[in-house]
Amino acid sequence: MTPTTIGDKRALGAAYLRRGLPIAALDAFSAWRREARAAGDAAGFVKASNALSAAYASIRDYENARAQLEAALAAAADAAVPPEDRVKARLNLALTLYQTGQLDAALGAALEAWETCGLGATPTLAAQVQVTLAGIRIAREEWGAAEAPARAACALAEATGSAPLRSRALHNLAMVHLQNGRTEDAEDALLEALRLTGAAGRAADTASHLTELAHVRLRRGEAQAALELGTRALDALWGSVAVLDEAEVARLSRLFGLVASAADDREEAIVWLNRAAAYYAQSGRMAAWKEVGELLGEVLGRRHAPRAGRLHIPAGTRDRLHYLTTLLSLSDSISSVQPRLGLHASLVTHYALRLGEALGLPPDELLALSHGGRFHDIGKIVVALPPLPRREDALRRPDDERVLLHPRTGHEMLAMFPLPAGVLATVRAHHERWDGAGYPDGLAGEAIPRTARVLAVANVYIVLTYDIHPNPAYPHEEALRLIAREAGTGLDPVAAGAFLRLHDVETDVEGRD
Amino acid sequence: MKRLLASAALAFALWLGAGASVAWAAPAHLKAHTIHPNGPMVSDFVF
Repeated sequence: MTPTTIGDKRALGAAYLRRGLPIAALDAFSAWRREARAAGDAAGFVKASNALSAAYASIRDYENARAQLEAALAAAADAAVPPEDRVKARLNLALTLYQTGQLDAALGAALEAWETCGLGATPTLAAQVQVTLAGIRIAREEWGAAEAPARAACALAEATGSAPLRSRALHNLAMVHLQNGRTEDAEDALLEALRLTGAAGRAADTASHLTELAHVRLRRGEAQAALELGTRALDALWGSVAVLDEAEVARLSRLFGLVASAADDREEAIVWLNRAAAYYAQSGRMAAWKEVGELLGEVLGRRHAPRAGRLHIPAGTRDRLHYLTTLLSLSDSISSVQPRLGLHASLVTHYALRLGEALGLPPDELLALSHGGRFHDIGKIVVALPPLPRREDALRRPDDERVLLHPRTGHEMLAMFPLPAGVLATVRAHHERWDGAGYPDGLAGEAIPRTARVLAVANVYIVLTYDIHPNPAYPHEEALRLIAREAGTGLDPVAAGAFLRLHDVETDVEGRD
Repeated sequence: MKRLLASAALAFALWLGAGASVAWAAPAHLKAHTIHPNGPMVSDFVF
């Protein structure tokens, strides 16, 4: 089936997105949007723009998401655009603004979305708008104004029966409870949120609930319980390093600092609070920085801290937090030279994990893909290269001798941390070729670690398709053809074949719409 | 007095650290801040 109609492209893009294949979804939605524009179909244009923004957001490209939505909202005045699609465009815009820290504009867009809801919106959409509104109010520390949307979001979300939505609504309400000293209500809401997120839920959601619950316990003076919850939150984040935000690590550092401070462990408190402060300063969040700085000042001012209250943070937890803080801040520094490098790394990791899951790899290899993917180009910081890979180097040996060094350097840098050997091997071998013509060690065939062979396929695909270069990206279909051609020469034929099958979504499309 | 000095030294160190880090970090508008410091949650994108 070759999709030709607008409906097909919408269904095709949605099927790709459901399978976690955002690049192919972007291609399909872009074509849908172009056709709608050419046909003067304002409603189709707004719908396609919303879909495209969701695909961009799934890869955290909020700049592009925002550009789509601004064009959509300019077209949304057309009477042919259903109110529901206008609500969606405004909600999506509020989300892109929120995610890039523009809270004033985000609040404005969310309030407009809520006003438009009155013209027509499903209960699910209304709940999504209220959850977002409460989240923005809380981020702005407008606790009084946060309570009404937090409660409305809970009531609306409960009526929809959507567990992820209910858990987020409850999370925000719990934060309002905690702020107002209602610790028991906060605890009840968070326990329910955790139950709703469940074992299959997103790790970031679970970690968020656990961190907040730790704050509740801390408020009650239960430092040890708070520490255990913080450790569980870190465990939840450890496996999802692919999408881990430094801010989550900073939140945990702050929590450990607060716990240590409550337990009168001065040295430990200084270490963790200082790390959180460094992140908040670097990301320009001065209110959070000032708050942590004041705590730090208070801890430093204590002269005779009793030794008996020393806190026992497990060594593994400490090592993991240390590793994540250091590596994420290092990759953030590289991103300051080339802001889109972070997107490159997270896309490669995302696709490597999807491919690893399709191949049925065991959990330790998936963990190696997750960490190896996120930091596979970290070695470039030492060899003083432009950090982004060049499209022409995707399928052949590069001329630049310095490029040949980066997998080895990355391996040596990561070896300084207590990481599983599989992660190090993955980073070192991600430029080896199946035919033995790769670098740095010239390994061939199955002598190359399986995770590195999987990562290589994902890396080639992203270097070809993602628009990070001055020259235009390859269309998704053409990149797949090149991967098919390289199977058995540059790339592992099993991994390349599985990657091609992953994109065969015809059955999904026919099953719906 | 000692306490006051310690606070002043800390404020200076933080100020220095912040200045150095801000200069080194990516421009704020290019950074995606998916998690806010006090940790609220929002909805997913919809279409």
